[in-house]
Amino acid sequence: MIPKELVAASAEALILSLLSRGESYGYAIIQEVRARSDNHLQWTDGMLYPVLHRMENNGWIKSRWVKMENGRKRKYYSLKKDGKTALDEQRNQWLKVHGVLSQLWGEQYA
Amino acid sequence: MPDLERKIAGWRQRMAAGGIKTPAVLDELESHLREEMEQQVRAGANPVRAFEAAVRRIGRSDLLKAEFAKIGGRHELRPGRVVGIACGSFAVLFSLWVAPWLLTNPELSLPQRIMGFAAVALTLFSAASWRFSFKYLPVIRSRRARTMAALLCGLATLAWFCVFGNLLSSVIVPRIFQDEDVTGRIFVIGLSLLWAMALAAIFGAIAYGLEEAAHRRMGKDNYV
Repeated sequence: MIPKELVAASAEALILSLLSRGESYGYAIIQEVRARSDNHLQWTDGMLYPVLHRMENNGWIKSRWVKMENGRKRKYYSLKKDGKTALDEQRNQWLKVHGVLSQLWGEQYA
Repeated sequence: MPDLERKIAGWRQRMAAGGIKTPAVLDELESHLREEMEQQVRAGANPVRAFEAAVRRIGRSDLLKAEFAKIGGRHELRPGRVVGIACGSFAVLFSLWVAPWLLTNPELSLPQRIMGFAAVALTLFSAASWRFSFKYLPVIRSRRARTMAALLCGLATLAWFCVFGNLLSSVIVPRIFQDEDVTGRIFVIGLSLLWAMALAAIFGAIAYGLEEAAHRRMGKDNYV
């Protein structure tokens, strides 16, 4: 299991990356992250929502309520232009971290 | 299942009592809770167990409240935002109140009409500039310096109104009252007021934009 500090640090990058593929809602975001990480990356579910709301406050994403066929409502999030810029910045930062670690581990285990 | 609905309503009340007061946030959390319950029931869990597991997954209200409280930032009433909203609202409301009867008056000359529309457009543009001005304004890292900048903008607006009031009474009105055309005098005063409002809106936009620039470009951990 990945420690919660690392999960928290990567939350924005994960959400931005997922939303760059199309709009989604909280539950689906959590399920997809869980599935793609083979259950290693897990939030306390509720903790996703303060992150989503902060990103919406930052102007990175926008949301809309959608009424489902069963009468219930779902809040869908999608990426805004500033969110794409934020995603580019975060991708560069994570790739740099990844590059340094790969380089070090490459030397270590070569 | 009425019993399950009562449990969900009770959970919602406990979340609200724990500090998650916003109905929209509670709606979103409840939607998540129901999705998780449905998923677990489909996987074979009994509904009550599914509810209990979903509640655990959502987490404690006090921890959630603490995380939501950190968002604050944008809606927190910092001096820059107060000055910006006050100047912008006043300028926009005044301009929109004066403009319809002044600028549609058939006796207004074309240059006067253009001047009037330009002032109103500048006021509206300044008021709407918070959406993008943060990208171009400098980031002031010190909260105290931002407060000072906001107060300066507020004082500059007040000073401008004092100067404008003096100009109106000592220069504009005496000069135009030599004119025999009473309607023309009113037009000049009206247009002058519209331009006075445009400058107030610009000062407000600067104050608001500086706070937004700091909030949006300093990152959540550095913005104070």
